[in-house]
Amino acid sequence: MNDADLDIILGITNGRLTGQQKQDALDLIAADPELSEELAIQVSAMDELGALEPAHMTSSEKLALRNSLVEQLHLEPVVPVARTSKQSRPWWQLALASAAALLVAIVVVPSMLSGSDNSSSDVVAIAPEATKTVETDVSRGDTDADTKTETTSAAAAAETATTSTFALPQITEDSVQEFFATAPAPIDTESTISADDQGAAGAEDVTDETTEPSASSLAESNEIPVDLVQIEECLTERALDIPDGEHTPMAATLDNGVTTIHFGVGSGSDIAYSVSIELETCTITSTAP
Amino acid sequence: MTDRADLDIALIDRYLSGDIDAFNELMDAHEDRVFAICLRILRTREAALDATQDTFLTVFRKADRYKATAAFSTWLYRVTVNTCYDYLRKEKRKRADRLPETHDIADPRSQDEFEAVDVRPQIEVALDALSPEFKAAVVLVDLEGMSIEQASDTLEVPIGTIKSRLFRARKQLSQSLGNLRPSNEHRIEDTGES
Repeated sequence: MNDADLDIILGITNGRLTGQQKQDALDLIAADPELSEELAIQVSAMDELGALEPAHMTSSEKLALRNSLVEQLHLEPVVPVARTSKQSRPWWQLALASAAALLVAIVVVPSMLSGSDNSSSDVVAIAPEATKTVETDVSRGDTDADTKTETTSAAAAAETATTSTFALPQITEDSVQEFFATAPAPIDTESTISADDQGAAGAEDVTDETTEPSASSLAESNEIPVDLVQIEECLTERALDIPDGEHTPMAATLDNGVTTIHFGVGSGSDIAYSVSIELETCTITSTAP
Repeated sequence: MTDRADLDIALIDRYLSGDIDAFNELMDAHEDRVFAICLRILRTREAALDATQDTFLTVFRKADRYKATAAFSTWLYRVTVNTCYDYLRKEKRKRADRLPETHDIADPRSQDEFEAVDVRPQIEVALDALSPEFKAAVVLVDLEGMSIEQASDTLEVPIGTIKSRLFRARKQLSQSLGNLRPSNEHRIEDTGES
């Protein structure tokens, strides 16, 4: 096989020859068994290659790739973060939904419950500096580079692309009451309690008692990533069952794969109630003043 | 330059001036092809996704060094192939490091087990058996539809080299797939044995 033969065969297989040139080349090949065989081999391989499935990225892989690039190139984060729910929603929709949930919790529910023992005026009155709310925490979770999921590997990012999470301090069920008694600042990851802080009396109304001490899990990690969407949905679903006021997710418990979010209810750092909600089922596991 | 090439140059300028829409437009235009090249060369989706990301990181970080004397896509796909070569080299080193601890090379069962779980289409197995240089030529020309000249520019090798690699790669693929007719030499050997 010399260069001229190579040119003839590739001229045919790669469409470089047309019209009379191509016909002349085909005649030449037909007259030469070796060239005919080489052409057949080339065409056979090309046919096999042509039968390969097209290679495409999925939409979630594309989203993860872009988010990762935006983060690593320090570009303005305009690409929406994907989430666990069935479809992706841009960050502004998340903020809007959070605001709506907040509105239900602060305005609608108190007005519906007006006259009851849980009058919202009592709660609101104790919180002049109340500014931190679910809304602000949600937006922080969505945009704060310190709390959102790392996406340094594209493949790993694609796997986690469907989550929208932020981190909450991890506590044990037994230490919920003590946690709120110390009234840490909302969503301050520096204020996680240590394992030594455990041992206080358990929350009174905890229905799903912790069977294993969480010291081991605390040793592994001081934070639990939680899903903003689920928090929103649970707050909305349970709006009529929980004390009204500002509901600030402050800590979380992870027990046998079940995540419980502990909300401070009140204003800012003045916590009037604590409410614990099991995230997966939106079940209220405890409320305590 | 083509319309696409001119558009890419304008987009790079916009990107360098801080226009994130230009970033997204460049991604829209090229991410699928970059990923496809990576997947064909590297074979696994995970590696292809990582290589795709590394490719775009390199390109966007060095965008200010891009000279518009060649098409942006040529430069991009060159970076893509080189990134894949790096991955293959790293993978080869990893395999070499791992083998003594986890495999007895002399144990024929190792190969049997590998073959038993390899359910990829034969053409993918055959493609994977090609050398990186042959594979790149086939991927760019036969799978991604580049002309021989474009592949030559992308891989920075002479046109004759691309032709030769392409021809030999296809022949090797056919051999691997068992589609190759017995050559005269083989027929003589067969006759001699019988």
